[in-house]
Amino acid sequence: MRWLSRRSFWLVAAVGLVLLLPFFGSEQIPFGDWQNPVSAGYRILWQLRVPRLALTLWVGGSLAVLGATYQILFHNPLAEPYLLGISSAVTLGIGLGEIFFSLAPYSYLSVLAGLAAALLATVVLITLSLSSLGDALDRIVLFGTGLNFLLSATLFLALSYHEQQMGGGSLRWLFGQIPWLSARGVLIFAGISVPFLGWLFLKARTLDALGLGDAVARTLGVSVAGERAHLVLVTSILVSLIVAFTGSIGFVGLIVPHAVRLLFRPPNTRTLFTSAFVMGAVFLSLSDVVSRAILPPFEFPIGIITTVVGTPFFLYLLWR
Amino acid sequence: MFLCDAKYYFRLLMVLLLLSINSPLGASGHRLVSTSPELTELLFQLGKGGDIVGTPQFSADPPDAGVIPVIGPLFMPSIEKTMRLAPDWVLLDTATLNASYEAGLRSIKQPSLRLDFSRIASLFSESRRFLEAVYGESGSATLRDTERCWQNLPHAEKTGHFLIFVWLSPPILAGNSTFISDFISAFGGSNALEPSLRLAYPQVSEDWLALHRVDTVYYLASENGREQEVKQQMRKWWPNTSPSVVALPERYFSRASLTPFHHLTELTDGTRILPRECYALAQ
Amino acid sequence: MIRSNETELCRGDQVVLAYGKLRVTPHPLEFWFPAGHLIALVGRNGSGKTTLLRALIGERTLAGGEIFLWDGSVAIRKTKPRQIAGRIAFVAQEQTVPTHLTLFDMLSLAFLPGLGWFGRLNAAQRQRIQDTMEAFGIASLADKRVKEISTGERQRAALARAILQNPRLLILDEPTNHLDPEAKARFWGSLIRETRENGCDVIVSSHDLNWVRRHATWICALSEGEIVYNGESDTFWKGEFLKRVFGEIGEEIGTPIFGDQEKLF
Repeated sequence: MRWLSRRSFWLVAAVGLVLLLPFFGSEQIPFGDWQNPVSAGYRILWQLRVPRLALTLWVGGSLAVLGATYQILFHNPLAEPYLLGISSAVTLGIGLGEIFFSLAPYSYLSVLAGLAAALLATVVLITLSLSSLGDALDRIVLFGTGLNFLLSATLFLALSYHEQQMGGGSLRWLFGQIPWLSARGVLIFAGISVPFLGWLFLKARTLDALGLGDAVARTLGVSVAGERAHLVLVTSILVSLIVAFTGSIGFVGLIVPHAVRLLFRPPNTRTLFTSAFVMGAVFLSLSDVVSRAILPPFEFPIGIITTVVGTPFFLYLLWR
Repeated sequence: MFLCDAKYYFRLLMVLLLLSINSPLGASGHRLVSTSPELTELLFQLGKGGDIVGTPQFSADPPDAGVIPVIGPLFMPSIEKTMRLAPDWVLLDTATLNASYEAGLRSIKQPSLRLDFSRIASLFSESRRFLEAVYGESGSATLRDTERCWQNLPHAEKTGHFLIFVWLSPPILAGNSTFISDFISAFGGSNALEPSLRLAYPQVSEDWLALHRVDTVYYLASENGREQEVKQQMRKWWPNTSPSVVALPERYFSRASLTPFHHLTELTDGTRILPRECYALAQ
Repeated sequence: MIRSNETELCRGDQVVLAYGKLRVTPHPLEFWFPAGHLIALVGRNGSGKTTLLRALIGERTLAGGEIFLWDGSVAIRKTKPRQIAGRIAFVAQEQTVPTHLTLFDMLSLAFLPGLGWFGRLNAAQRQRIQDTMEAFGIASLADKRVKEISTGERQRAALARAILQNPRLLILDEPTNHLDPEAKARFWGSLIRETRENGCDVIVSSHDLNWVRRHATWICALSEGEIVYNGESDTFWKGEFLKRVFGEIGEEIGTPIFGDQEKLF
């Protein structure tokens, strides 16, 4: 009960903060403009910033939940959502699509190219999980790490040969970038990923059981290899969807679950997920606004800001 | 009673007319945002400089461009700043294109135009396309004159290879897909870089330079001159042959606009007679 | 007080145990355990105790042959985890736990097979958890993180969780290895008390021969992947078997040293 009221306070504070965020960015908007349909400020606020905020909230929350899932699934407190290398497959697919087929960035075809590449990588991973190798978690993680290195190296090789300029073009591959999507685009994106995220929430108890070790989990009725394969599949799809739009935004999936554990002490994985979602959402949106408002009109890549903002906060939490 | 009504309606009509003139949505519809300094310069040369409401950093030519609001650094324009200026058209230069920016413009349905100035031919055709799309004009006098000058230039029989140095150390060259390379090619010779290399500004190794036979070396010369440095490097890379060296003032030749055409005389060493139309441009 | 009506708890048929490619049993094993006993597995480290226990749960260590439970009604290799969930419970040597899990939530996982999509406990389940915590003396730790409580309390909590599953067979793999004498006594005491009340069968492997001698009624002794002895416990302690299982020290360790501390709990 005590846990709940403390969390309620922070939840209200978070909602308040989020409501204020659209008013900040690389451009000052006069306060009255939010109601004035003719003004430029109206357009910036409602067509640009609000959809972006919605997207960032959703992506931040999903990344945090994904990070928490991997940390439990692989018994590894340093796991990030990009552990299994799927994200590298997505960025490689998109990169190759843009370089060799001149696909327009953030277009449907481009996203499809990324997802196709992710599918290939996921199939390999699922097969690995279901085979006798599936019991050796370390092997899967090592494979994913190797895949990460291989695929990102391939991408950068292709980029260095074809990319004309650094700056806004290439940085997004390294640090991730939240795209400016239309409201419709955001709704479609969220709509498609909701079932997968929901599935993770439903599987929270199974994750608890898996966390108790394979033997115990089996006697609790959990088909260890099968559930792990399911979870790898669902998380891979979710990661692919996110990375196809934003690239690999680091740090959120790694740090937010730990911060939630330290700050809110959730008793089980279900509550860990909900708190992580909220905190990840707020953290990423805050980082996004900071990245745009701190030195206008220059917009920092969001991955840099999440690291710079997150690290001191996290060190402080550890020290306490 | 009737007269009162008439006066009232007259006043209302006047107010409405005044409003429509001042309303930003009404009249011109030619508020332009440029995304590269060369495009800004070109717009001024086409006579549309007054319509530019936003330009990126380092838009220094012509001096009038210095007062236009800045939308961001060169390759990272801010979409919020752009929209703040309430543009009618956002003009994207493929040389400085930012994928995220373009996608953002698409998502809020902001009219934009993608212009590719990597070739001389495309400079003319894209400028015409721009004028047609935004102003409904079929061309401009300046454009026609420049094109005529260019078409009337005598075809150069000079063969041989040239290299254009954008930077000396490390050696960075202008590739085949750049405007400046296309421009120089018209004067004879071909870029020593392989045509299949798509990079705009490849950095090469000194070994590569030593291995390739070059007849003419062009380099972008800044205000303080690099002649000594250039001569030194030439001796180092090609000790046996001595390619001719031509300095291209950076101010005139580093951008794809009509400016290079105004300085054709600096390219030829006075030995070639230029068509009459080209001399007129240089005025 | 025996709940089950079967006579045969478990039967192993040409059982081959292995970890991947590493064979643990040089020859296929044939064995059976009767129902209604407290069965202890003894042997050196590496003799195959853990491998056998894990095979009973259905892990991949069963490389060949088949193990049947409850008069042959369940064949381990052909059974999915869901099917054995209500019937077998396992307590490991050490507990791996997710960092954030509290004691109460770990215990509530005992009901996992029966929980629906949303995984909410009903009042009866909550009450059972509460009662069990009190019986085990860990009620005050309900909101604490499992990682943060002492090892002894953690092992008892794992036992509580296993008991909450209401199993017909309880399997424990060297559960008191890392516990101090008092914690050991508490653990064994709780085990005896609970299994007597519920009447479930127990297979436990342990190095705590004192306790084994006092309470186990059936011994299965392993040495280097072979079954050296499998029968009533009295006969085991009297014969030469201790020497064969533990080597030269066999005679000495057969003599009980401590009294029956578990009585206290």
